[in-house]
Amino acid sequence: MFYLFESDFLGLIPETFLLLGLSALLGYGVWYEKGRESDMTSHQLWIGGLCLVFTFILLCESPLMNMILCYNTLIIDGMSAFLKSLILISTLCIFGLSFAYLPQERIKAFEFIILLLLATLSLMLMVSSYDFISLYLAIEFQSLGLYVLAALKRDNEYSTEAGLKYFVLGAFSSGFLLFGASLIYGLTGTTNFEDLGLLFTGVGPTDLFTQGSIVVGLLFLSVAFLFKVSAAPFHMWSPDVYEGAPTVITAFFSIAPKLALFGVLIRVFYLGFFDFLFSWQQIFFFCSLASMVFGSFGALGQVKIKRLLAFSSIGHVGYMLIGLATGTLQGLQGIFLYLLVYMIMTINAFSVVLSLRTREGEPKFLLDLKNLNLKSPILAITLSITLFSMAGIPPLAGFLSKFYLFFAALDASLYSLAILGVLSSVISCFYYISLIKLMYFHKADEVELKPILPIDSQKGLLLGLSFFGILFIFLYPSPFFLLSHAAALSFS
Amino acid sequence: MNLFLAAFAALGISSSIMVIRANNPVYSVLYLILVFVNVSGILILQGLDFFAMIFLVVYVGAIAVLFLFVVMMLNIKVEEKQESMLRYLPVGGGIGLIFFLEVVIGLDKEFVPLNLLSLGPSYESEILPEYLHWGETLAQKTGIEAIGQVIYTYYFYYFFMASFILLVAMIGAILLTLHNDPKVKRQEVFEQNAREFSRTIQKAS
Repeated sequence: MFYLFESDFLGLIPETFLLLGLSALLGYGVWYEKGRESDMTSHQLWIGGLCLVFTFILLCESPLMNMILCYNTLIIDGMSAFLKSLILISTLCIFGLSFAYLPQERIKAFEFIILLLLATLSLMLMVSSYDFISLYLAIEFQSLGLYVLAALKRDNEYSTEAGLKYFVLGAFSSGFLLFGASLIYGLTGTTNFEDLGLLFTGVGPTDLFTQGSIVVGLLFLSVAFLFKVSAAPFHMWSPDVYEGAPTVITAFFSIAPKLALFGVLIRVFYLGFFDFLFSWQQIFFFCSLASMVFGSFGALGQVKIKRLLAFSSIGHVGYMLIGLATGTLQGLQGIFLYLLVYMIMTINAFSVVLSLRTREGEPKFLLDLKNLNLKSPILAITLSITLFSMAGIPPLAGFLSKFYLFFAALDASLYSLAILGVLSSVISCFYYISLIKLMYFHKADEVELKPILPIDSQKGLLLGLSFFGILFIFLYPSPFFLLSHAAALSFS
Repeated sequence: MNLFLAAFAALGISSSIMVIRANNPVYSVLYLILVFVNVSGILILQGLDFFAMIFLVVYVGAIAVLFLFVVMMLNIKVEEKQESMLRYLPVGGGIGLIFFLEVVIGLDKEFVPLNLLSLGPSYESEILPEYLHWGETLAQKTGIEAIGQVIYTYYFYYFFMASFILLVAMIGAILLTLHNDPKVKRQEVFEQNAREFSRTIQKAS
């Protein structure tokens, strides 16, 4: 006997496993004895990490490479596999950072782990969504969890502000997304990306009426997505949210949702609306330009570490949007490579920031980095290499990804983007190097140096691995090129 | 049918005027509920039964009641009505007129002649060709039945996702509001049940 969704669940095995694992963890957390929550969060982190590792293995070993699931609502392809594995790795790294952070900040709530796992699940579903309705549901699922995580420290005003701001602006951008999707649905009668792509084949530049009305919908859609990835004209919320949220959550915000949202952007605009390339290219062109400029100039005036990292991530989003604006497979490959390298660099930067903790608490200001060289030479050299890599200095990983994107832009005749990209990375060099100056070439004050707390083994492992990646990806980049190429090929 | 439509529409419009003209904010919210009820009546007349029920459940059951609680808790005084409405008339009236004209023009030019059902079954147009509505000859299902048949089979994924969103909302609400502090006073059911009347009330001498 043949059932309707007989083979579909086979394609969803990684997600199902993750869901079952986190449900078991939720049950365990509710059942566990009261008053010993701090022990429990450590158990939950270990088991949640194990869950993520198993999900990763299931994902990599899945024999189903290309499949459309659940009556045209989900799709599995090369891109979804690549981005899902990156999302899983980044969540795993966030868990690694949380081992020391949760007891230090006295966060006893085990829901922290459950919500992170739920957010990971929703990001995975978001990457493989194939329809506007499933996309919207996945985005809502993800953002509800993240709003709560941003406001996790409810006694802290900054954290509450971050949660509230993120909630209001996220709801606003979701409204934009819904409005754009309903305009397109009203015009075409379909919400499926592939149906849209087939419907628009060849109509792009010819039919003025269709184009005019579709472009309004596209504008709303792209504004909603650009809001969510915090690209430049819509980036105002991100420094506040990044500053207010607990640092581990900030690290999560700056990595995992961006991975998934770029996947979604690529899927919507390369699969559904590729025939309107010349309409949406302009939007992304402008936003990419603005993000690079705002990211580098905005960071110059910052005095707090997390705000600086937020502006730096706005700049990175600008570079990735270059790849989207090219409209070529090479650009896509550049985005995937950049996402990978960006993930490694961000994890390294945040683990350094988290390791700088003294007995008084977390460092907030850039001035706390002063004379880091005397306090901990290894951390100082790690941070400076990471900053050099973020700025795109040649023998490091960041250079590789930027180089690839700029060449993709040159091949697509987007000369102005490539040139401005290079210029803005020069400007960003300025503030990265000013940090390095602060760490190394500063007169030692008479004030005694506050010793930093010992670094736990998980964070140390992450620091080492990501530092190794940043240093040596440039020497042997071909596996990463191949992976990103395989991911990009699913749109050929 | 048309009588019902007129009744619902008239009641809806007059109660929506009362929402902004009522002296007491609590009355305003109650009139708002009346607007929602009337609108869902109109939706039922249009054949959108599921939508009408959702409208009632969500707007009246959840949102309007929430409004009512908030208005009651905020302790707003009955507002004074010294200022005349004439001050807002030029701008508000202008915008209202524009909307009214838009609706009138839109209805007159586009939708009404095409909507054959609204003109009655015996209407035969000379301009518009007559179609056989194949959909009407089939066995019809109500909206709720159709949605149920689709959402539990083909689109079960959407249903699942909605449930996950509710799960996240539940966990989030608990995480953000539950204080595990021993200083927070809680209800002790056992203690309440075990309390004796005669020992609880004591006479102060």
